[in-house]
Amino acid sequence: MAAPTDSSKRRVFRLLRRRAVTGGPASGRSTVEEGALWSAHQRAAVAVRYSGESAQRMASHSAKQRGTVEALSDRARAVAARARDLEAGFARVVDAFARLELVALNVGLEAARMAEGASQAMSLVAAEVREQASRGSEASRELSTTLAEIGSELAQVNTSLDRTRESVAEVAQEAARVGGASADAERALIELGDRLRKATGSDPETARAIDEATDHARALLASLGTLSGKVPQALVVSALRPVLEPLSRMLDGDDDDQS
Amino acid sequence: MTGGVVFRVADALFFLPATVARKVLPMPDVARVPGAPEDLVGIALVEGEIVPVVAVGELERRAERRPKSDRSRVDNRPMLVCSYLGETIALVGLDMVVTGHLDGLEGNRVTHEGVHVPIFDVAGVMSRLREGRWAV
Repeated sequence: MAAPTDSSKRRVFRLLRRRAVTGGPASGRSTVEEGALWSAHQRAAVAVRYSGESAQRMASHSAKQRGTVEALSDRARAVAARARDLEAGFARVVDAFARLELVALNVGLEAARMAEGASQAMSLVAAEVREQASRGSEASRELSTTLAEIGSELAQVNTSLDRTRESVAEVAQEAARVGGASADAERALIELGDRLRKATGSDPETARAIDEATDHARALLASLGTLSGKVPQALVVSALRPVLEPLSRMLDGDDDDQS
Repeated sequence: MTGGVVFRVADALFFLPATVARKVLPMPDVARVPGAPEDLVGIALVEGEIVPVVAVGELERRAERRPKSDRSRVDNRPMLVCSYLGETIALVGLDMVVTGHLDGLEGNRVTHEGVHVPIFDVAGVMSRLREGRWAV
């Protein structure tokens, strides 16, 4: 709330004096209540505006999250497709190793048809080739199985991302609803303020200033209450007199009412 | 020592000499023969020659079970092509164990890693095929 100017201060004091003279204590209470009402109105207006802005920010973040989730989902699908391609590639490698095993068997068979001495080296090489081909085939099968598992995991990741995307969409919808409700509440508060102004005839700025002044006065009284009995009264009076005397004169109507 | 091939059918090992066992090939496309005995998987074109393909052990009919996307892949299960008395026959449903020279022939068996391995009865298989009524 902006600091009250000199003219608004005078308006407040005039209002307080008028109420004190014409309406008595009940009228003063009414002024204070009006001030409190306008302060509450202003707090509500600020809160509603803040919630509307928060809803907008939530909607904006949701849109960003949705974009991120969709990008992640696309990546996961691309990786799954690559995994499938690799699986097919490994299948071809397994086929090649299997064919190599058959070739090695045939080399062994050819060696078996040759004379024993000449075929020994050929047999050894054939056996070694077959063993290595068998190992390679087994390793490729394991890799292929692992890739299939990765593909399955990726499918689950995609499912989770789909669910996340749905949740983000719901959050965006909720944020939009909150934004709409905040806008409605803001309009209602403006209307409430207008009706309040017409019903009470009070100026919101003055009423809020009175409410603030009342709070300060209560705080001053509370401070004086804590000082009571601890500090000599003369000391308190001498300290506060320079401040309180102008205030007292203003409340008594000694100041220039026409200025 | 004698040269040849040792293969496994179910849990049993068998031997075929290199004079009978011609070649080990991947399983080709096999044409089924209607009314043929169960052992006769069908006939296949092997190096320009029509050859009967006989299952000597369990043989999964993979072509029927494979998904369409997988049918382009080569069937790498081994097929042992044998020649006996001028006739050619292909044996499938077996696992190749070893080829090359093995410890000497003793009667109707060889020794592989300390195990006596009997000679596979190709003549029996051929005569069963001939006696089968499927060819009538």
